[in-house]
Amino acid sequence: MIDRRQISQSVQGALAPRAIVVLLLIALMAACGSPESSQPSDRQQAPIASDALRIDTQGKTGGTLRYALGGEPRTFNPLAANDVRSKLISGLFSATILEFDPIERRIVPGLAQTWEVSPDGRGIEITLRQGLRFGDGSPLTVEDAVLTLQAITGPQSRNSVRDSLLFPGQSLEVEKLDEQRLRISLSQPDASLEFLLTTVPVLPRRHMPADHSTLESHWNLETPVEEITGLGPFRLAAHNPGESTVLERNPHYWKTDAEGTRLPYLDRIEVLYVADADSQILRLRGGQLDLVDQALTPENFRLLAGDDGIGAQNAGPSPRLALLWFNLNLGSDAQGQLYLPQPKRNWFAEPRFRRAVALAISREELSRVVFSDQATPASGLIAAWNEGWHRPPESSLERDTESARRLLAEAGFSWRGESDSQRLIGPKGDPVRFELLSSPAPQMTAMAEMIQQDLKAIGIEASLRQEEFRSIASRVMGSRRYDAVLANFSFPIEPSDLSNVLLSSGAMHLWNPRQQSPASDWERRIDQLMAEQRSLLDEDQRRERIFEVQRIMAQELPILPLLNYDILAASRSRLRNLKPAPDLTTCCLWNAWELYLDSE
Amino acid sequence: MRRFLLHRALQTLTVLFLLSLIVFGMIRMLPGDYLTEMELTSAAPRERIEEMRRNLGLDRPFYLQYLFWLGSLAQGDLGYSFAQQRPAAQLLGERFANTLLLALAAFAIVLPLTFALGITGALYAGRWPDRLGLGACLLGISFPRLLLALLVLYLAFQAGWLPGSESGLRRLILPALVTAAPLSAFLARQLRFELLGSLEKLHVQAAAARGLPARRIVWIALRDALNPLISLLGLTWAGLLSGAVIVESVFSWPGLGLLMVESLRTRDLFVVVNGVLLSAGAIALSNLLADVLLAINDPRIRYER
Repeated sequence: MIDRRQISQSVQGALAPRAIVVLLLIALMAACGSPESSQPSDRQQAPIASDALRIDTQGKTGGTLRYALGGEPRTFNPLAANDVRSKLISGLFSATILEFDPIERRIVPGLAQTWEVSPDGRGIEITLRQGLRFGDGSPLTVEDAVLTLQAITGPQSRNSVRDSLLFPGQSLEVEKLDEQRLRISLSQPDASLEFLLTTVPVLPRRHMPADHSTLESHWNLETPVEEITGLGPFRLAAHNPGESTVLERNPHYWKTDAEGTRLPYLDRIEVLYVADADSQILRLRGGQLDLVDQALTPENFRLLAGDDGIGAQNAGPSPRLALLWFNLNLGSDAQGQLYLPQPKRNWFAEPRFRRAVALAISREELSRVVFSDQATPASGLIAAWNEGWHRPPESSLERDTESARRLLAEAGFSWRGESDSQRLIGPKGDPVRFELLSSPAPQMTAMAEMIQQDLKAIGIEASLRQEEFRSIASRVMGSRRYDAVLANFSFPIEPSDLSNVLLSSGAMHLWNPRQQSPASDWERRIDQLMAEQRSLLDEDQRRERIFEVQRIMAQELPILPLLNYDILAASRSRLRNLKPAPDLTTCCLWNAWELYLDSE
Repeated sequence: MRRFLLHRALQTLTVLFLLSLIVFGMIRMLPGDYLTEMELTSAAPRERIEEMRRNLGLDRPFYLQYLFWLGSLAQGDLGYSFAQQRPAAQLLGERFANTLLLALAAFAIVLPLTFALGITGALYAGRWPDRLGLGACLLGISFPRLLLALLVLYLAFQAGWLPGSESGLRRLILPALVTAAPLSAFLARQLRFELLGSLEKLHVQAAAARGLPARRIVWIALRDALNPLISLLGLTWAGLLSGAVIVESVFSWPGLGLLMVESLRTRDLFVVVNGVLLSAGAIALSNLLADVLLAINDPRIRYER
């Protein structure tokens, strides 16, 4: 009998070493490919427009900025762009009539050299810069701007810009005055018209479909990049589905630096789509990326802060707000079932209960524990950085369990049990417990658990329920069956854009959306104030109304503001002129025209 | 064999039909649809959103929408991606091609590595090459995939070997390696185990006693050990074709896995349903291929009913 060992030994010498080496070589060869060479950039120069806009900046020309996004955009059409990625990419190759400087927080000239709002606020006369050209070299004419505006606002159009411009009862007409000027006339005065024009990209009229209802389906990810053009600092050079989008400098861009050098400084921007946040950080450290912002977590930010060759910046609070709200839907469904049964209905409707909950939650601890101090305690929908419009609340929302208990006692609540395990009892004798709905994202889970602990300190039992965002949204707007929600939302800079949240008829009036008529006096008052502010041209008068809205919101607390996420950015130190802005869409690329690469 | 293939084809079609019904139903049963997010966060009037819902067919009852999709499928139309506003077939085709490429690259590493480690382990059983191989296999199996991917990425950039952002085969190396490593580890252990058993079988010992060349003896033992491995390779290949979310996510590889996760999140109905069917079809085909290979490798196996 020959055993296995003998057989093995007999074949080892003859076969194994050679075969194994061959097999390993095959594996190695399979793992190797040939590196591809990168194409040198072609730096074209076209005559600089006579009306070019001179920017007070300086830098070095050339180079490729490599930037990462968590996924690819949904469209290249600036008018159909509803998601952050699509807005960011389309914002790099398109330009708007007016621009908003998010650092100075003011409206600045864009394609319009000058503009004048009529004294009654029902119109604006715009003078376009002369000699401007689209990325493909074709000239910009007044007709392009007129037709773009007509297409956007036409009755057949379906886009978000139209939704913002044409609030109920508003109509708009656009006319060409001469070869350089156009006029926009409104049926009602709109104080936010100038700001809204910072969101209107001008597209070439030859790409405008005759049927405006199809405008949004133009320029999708399938469209050949050479067919897509705009007036932005870059133009699309290539799109590799799911991998990357390459933008090259627009040789016809209409901004120059202080020395008259045509911007942008960069030759190219390569946007890589890297879904994993840690992978983005490794790539930044490895030099494969120059800039990471949107995917930067507080933990990674702290890790990168000490890295050589990498600059980590916290640019302060962003418009992204973590908030909590209670279900204040007082109505019933088609079957007559109350959206929110008693006794919760009475508890949540009591403003002192909502304030007590707000006072029981420690925002500082949430920021420290969940966000490593890279978030800022919030005081309302309008963040403190939005200086012109922010009004600090009269009473602080800092954690104060004593005040919370006092408010609850005043509202008829009581406590039962020993001090360590006291339970809050409602005015009708029911123990106070509710379900807190949140998404299963790690940060939201951590926040929800901390809130749960904070509420326990005043005797409230909050159980957690986790559902993904669409499911939560469907409850909030559809079935309306929930107790309380913890969620994140980004709120706009311009107060009029908050109408969808603040107006009782708004879809995003989270606590009780799409009301036929205001459910409470304070909501009626907010509706009135929001309507007034929109038509007031005097900024001080307008500010008064917005302050009043904030005062009511702080008093009634239909939503409990928790934290504003901080704007975080990390970049290779060779990237200069980086000015992270409190704008989650464009964040670090809002001034892409002046970014440049220096030596490390 | 022909009857067997026909039988399997019918079986596969039935499974795919049931699967489409379940996936379709599940997505429709989930609260919210593609437009829910827009409904909450945009200033679009309700009438416009309802109109969009009608245009996308999302207002139809489940059975009507399913029948409509089935009818379109019969005509070769896989529907439309709501999110990307383009035909779902195009989107899935692009991503499936990438997944297939990654799977092929990974398989090109898996096969030689599996045989190298498995044969070495069996021939040097109990000695240091075997112990080294077993240790490597254990590490490969137990190391979390995400950690492995990040570690490989980290080592690659430390070595200055991180591929550029350009497209091309070079981008395949790291994701293929990370995909292949745990699979090779698992399969190599199986092969070692099977081969050890085969080497003790009488016909292999008889071959050795007759003085057959070593290569021939190993081939005889290997053929014996291949049957379970072929089944496992079929399953492995099928798994690779369903997409690998972690690897795709870390290495920015635009495959089917990431698309499916994103589409499920946005409730991009037709992309999800057709994507699941595509993966399921690929799995069924891979299993069929494995069965055919089994029959070729071992003439004793006959698929007659």
